[in-house]
Amino acid sequence: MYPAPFRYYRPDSIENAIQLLSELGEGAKPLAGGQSLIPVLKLRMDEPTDLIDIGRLPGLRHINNENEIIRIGALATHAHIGKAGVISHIPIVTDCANGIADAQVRSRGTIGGSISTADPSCDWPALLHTLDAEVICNGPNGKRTINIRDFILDSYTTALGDAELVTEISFKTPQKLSGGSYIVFKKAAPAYPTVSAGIQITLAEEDICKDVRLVLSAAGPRPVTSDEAEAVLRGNKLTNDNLEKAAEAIIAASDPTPDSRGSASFKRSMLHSLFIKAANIAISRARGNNIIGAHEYV
Amino acid sequence: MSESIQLVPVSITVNGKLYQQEIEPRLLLVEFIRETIGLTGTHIGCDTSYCGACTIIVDGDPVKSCTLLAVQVDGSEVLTVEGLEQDGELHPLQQAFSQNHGLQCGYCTPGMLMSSLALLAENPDPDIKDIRKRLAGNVCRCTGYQNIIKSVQAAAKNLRED
Amino acid sequence: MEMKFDGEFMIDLPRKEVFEILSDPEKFAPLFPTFHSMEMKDERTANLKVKVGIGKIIATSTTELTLEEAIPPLRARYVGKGNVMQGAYQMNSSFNLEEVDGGTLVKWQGETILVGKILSIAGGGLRGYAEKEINKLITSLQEALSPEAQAGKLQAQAQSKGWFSRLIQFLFGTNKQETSTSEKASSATVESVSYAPHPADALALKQESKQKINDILNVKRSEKKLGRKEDKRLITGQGLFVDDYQPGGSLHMCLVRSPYAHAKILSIDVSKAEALPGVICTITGKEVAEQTQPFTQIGPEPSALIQDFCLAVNKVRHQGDPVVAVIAESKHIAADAIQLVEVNYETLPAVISCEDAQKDETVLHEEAGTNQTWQGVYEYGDVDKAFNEAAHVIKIDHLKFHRFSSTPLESNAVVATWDKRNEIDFFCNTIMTVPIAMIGPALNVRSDQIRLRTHDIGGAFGNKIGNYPYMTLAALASRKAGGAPVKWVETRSEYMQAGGHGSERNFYDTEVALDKDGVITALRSRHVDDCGAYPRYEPLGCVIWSQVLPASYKLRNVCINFSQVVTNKGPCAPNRGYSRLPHMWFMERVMDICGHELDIPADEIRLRNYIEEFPYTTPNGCVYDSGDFPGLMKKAKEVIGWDDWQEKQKQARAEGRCLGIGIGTTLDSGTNNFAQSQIINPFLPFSSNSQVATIKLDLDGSISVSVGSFPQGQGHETTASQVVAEELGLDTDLVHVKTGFDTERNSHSGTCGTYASQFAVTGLSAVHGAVVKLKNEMKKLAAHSLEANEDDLEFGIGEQGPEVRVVGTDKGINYWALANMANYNKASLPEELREISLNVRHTFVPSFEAPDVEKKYGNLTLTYAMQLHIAVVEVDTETYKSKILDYAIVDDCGKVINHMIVQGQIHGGAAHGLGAALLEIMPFDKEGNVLAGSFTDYAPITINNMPDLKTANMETPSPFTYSGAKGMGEGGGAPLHAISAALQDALYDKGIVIQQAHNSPMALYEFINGKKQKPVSLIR
Repeated sequence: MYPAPFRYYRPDSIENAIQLLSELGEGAKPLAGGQSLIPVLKLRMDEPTDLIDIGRLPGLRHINNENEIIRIGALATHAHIGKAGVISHIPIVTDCANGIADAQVRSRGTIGGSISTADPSCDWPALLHTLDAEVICNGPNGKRTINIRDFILDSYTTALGDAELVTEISFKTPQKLSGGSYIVFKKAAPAYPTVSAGIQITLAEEDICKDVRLVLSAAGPRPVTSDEAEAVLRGNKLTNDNLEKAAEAIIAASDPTPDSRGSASFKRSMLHSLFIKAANIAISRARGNNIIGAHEYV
Repeated sequence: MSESIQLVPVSITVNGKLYQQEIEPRLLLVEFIRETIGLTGTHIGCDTSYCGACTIIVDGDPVKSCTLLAVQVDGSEVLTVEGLEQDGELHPLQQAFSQNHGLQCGYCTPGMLMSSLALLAENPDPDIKDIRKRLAGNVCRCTGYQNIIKSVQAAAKNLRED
Repeated sequence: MEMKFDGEFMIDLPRKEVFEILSDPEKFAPLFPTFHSMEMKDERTANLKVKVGIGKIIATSTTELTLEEAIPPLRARYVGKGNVMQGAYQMNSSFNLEEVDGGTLVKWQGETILVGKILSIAGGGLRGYAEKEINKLITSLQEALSPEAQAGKLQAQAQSKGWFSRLIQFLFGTNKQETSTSEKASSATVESVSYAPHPADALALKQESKQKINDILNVKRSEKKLGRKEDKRLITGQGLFVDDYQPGGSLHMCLVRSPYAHAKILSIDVSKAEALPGVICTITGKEVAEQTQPFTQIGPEPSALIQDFCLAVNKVRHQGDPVVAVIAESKHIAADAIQLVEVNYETLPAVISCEDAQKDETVLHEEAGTNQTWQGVYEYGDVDKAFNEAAHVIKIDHLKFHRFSSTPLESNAVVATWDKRNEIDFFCNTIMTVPIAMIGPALNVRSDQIRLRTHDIGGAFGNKIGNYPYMTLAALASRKAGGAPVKWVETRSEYMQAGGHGSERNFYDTEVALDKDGVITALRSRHVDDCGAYPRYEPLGCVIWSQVLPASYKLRNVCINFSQVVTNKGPCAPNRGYSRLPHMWFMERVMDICGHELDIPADEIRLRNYIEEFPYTTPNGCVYDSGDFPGLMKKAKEVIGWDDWQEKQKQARAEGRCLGIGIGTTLDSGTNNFAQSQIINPFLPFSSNSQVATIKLDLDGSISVSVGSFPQGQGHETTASQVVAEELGLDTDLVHVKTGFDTERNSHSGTCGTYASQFAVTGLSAVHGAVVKLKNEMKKLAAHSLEANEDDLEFGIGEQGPEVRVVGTDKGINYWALANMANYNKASLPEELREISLNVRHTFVPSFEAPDVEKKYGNLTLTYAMQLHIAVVEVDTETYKSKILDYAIVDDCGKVINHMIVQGQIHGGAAHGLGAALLEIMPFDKEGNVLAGSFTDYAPITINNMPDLKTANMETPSPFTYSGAKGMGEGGGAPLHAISAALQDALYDKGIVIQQAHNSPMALYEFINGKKQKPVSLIR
């Protein structure tokens, strides 16, 4: 399994990278950590003519908290995000970062690469929905900011234009009394997720939900959200009954693909189970409890 | 596809030795290690970044060398299984794997050792959960993992005590 | 994957015009929405390229589109076939035109079948996407046919054609000046670009972990004794696996494999591949059929008539069937070249299920005339009488054991050199000498022209017995390439398609007779094995299961109708627990089902049915050497805390949780009697078994041992050295055992190998026999030299190292002196001692008789190791995810030679069983697409999936082996039994009977939700 031949470029600035991508056109692809792209190249599912290695672009690896806005450079690796001090109080992000594939993939894989790939079973695109993240892009027409909801369009399809690259992801630090959880079910760590569920919830008081974001992943061509499901919880008591209703609403909005990881109905059952578990962890965390969340394996 | 093959100059330090070569950009890092410079301890067990037999350390982090292009590590420092032994003396981690029967056929072992080394470098006293988490991307078809866990624990203990 | 579409639409153009467009491939083809370029092959056929994109992954698909039917102005029909993303598709689309109000009503129908790797990647998650894409294609076709679109499209076609000719010129360099502007831009950039170094922020981030790695490397080191002799090289990266062997001047072979499960090969064009610089040659099935004999078939007629070559000839029979070999200077070039080989197929219906195969409506091997490779009835005792007299009769309608594989981490591989002196060298990872018997006749060479050697093998678990066709092919490739070494290393994707999986088995119409106490008195059943496309090592599996015919139980009346079929799936190979494992699982299922039906606890019904006295002769004449089932159970219960779990189970049930406790008893029959093959085919001249070892005091007196096994991690160097060291009274460090196998060591017979759990018995008996012979020779020389009586000599360590000495004195002779006498100083010896070489060879032969072929009766195996597993499992009834709460294993393999190695084998066998029970399955769709085409999809068991195993050991020595040891490497797959049992225990209250060996959450969920009626009935 070896990639087909391609030409290789390794620009030292974002401007050069964008220029190369524009000049080389359709056959050119950016290469960040390569953890999604290289397996595809090896299987010769894709044969780009040119690879633009953006892995050495400077200034895209930061993980900062600027006035309660978390800013993560597109080339920050999953491992760095998982370990970053400024993130440690946002457990939904560390759940996700530390649970992607395995340690080796987390060493190389980047958040920018992950959301640009937009694999429907990948974690970051879904996770970022729970934090209303913004995606900052840079391209031939300059910089722009796209909300994650408008960024992921379809499976493997984003709003990125030709020669446009993700440079940064940003989101507001969750407020006090806010907690989140993200749980993936997969056969094993390096296998693709079967389905995943995430929830970030902010409490008004002990049992009332002030605000909430829900997402399901690997449950359709793009991350599944549901205003209706969120409305069930928002402003209401966090009873089991309400959680069930929210689960029902968001699962109704899902469209999981039947494949060798499961039928649509199996995936819905699994989504339900993960959703309820994630919700309970999120609520408990919002109450200030320090609970360790973990992905589930067969 | 261009007619002339593009060759990219790289300088890669492997186990402390600098290798300067001109390579095809499609050359995988694992091929560079195994074939270009002939260190065959690092193995290939799958083609979709699942099995971890090809795990090595690049600039301090464990990576799957089958899922990297060699050109991506130009200017980097690579540590492979061959770099564990120093002056003919085994590393305590290698000894622990042998003494605790953490290997049978030995095909996954180089990758297991490198993942374990990265774990112990970061966490000198891992519990079973930590070990499972950090070796989750390394498949072993022989040992059922029981003795691998034991080996890593024993190595950690030895390293802490020495 | 098959997709059907139909529909109709109106076009505001006269019918004649619409027909003209639709019936002209040159006009029709560019209507594809993602049309890229085309070339007319002839008037009716266009070769077109379309872009197929899944998001940013954009591939070019090539399609040959033929106007198959044109009835002006009524109907046009196209047939297309092509390749996309390592897969292939076929389409058939027809257009019927009706005149309606001056316009035209187009009624269309389309059918697309998509096959190949594309469907297996990422869990087949691309299927939905592919469907969407094809829908899109049809929709745009409608739009394109609208009169408004027509003008524009035809213009686009003209442009594309222009572009295409430019591309051709660019590719073939006829007119380089005309390369497009973007090409110019890119090449200009290549020259001017420099490669960026690591930026400062990246370097800073890496500082800490780099330092930590440095610190842990620079720790104090001290010498410690290692666990096994093999370990030093393996923990230092100095193992030598096949792909590590890189002889100079090696060429590389890659294979073109069929995307179809069943198809005729119409034509093969290798010209473009051969034209690629660096390609040395190609080989097709036609050449193979001309230059080689078909491989020997083990089965009797009609399956003996099957013609199996190392490449597909005329026909492909499974997805991944090799069709063309390309040999090139590098593996990269070979991989590039296989994409340039054009193969034209005509698809045939794929036979996927056992049930379909048995119908023989489509036959895989026409020369055999049937899909059935073997059928026979194993009947013992008086079954009818037992059923008539039974207190209870229980019927079970279908149980299924799935296809999976132990997937050794090192794939099949070989470096073959067929030099101009007409000698063939295989550096390979096969695991027995049988390939010589397969390859020699196929290539028409004598066995002494074949050198077969292995070094380190990265696991095999039986699977690699099936790789001789690839070895044969690599040898042919080497010969054709002028005698250079040719390396072939199977990729994991290839392994998943064709690398040798375990066979699947269906158990139909089982009836069990029991007495009033729940003791099984008789069993009737029909078993059908599915061995994939080519029998290869089969139909041996049709008898090997009968080594454990009654499993661990004392029933005497049995009637099993056993048959085997071929299907359009990759060929099977023995897989750890080969053929016995499915049968043991079946018998354990029977036991648990009967227990539940009669309300007898799982432990109790087993205790009532276990064989109690040993040696025990089974109804079919096998002799179980020794054992203690109740003892195993008692110990396993202690290990797991049985009573405690019983309590916890009660509590859990009271809380509505589904907690199950399952027992799996299993046998590992070791050292097979090859005469059992005559039960399959009476004409096979095979019987008994033999293993060889040689040992010598080498020229300098060092002890050198070589064995006839092909170790793959079982530690043969360690255990062989233990046996020798013990006999000679030495430390194992002084015994040197050669790594791997080599025909040139002359330490083999025709049945040597590492299979059928036997090294501890046959291998070590051979080593033991050899060292005893060596000792006798050494004694003779020592007695002469020391002027002592042989009986007064002993072996041990003296001041000068290992020596033979006179008991109770300091008179001794060291090994160097002995070796010197035998090798260099013959004249110092009396005439009668001059023939002593101190180089001895011993063949161990177990005492087997030929079975009664008619009655299918005889002793088929020498030893029976036993294991009893207990699993405690909790099932989530929403997701059917099961969690193993506790797991205990007690094993008894007779006298244990090396506890560490035995325990390692038990752990490994348990992991394979648990993997197969909960994660690992090879699914196919009805077109025969491999749906677990990569490790990522198949998900072999990882450290995260493994419970902590609690183990204990018992020893009931075998009376049939010199040491009391029994073979135990295969393990018998008890986790499959125990997990099925535990799940049934957890779910039986809900009316669930576990009918399948594979119970991943998904499988269990589908099984329970799709269940119609209880598959079990208590008739009496």
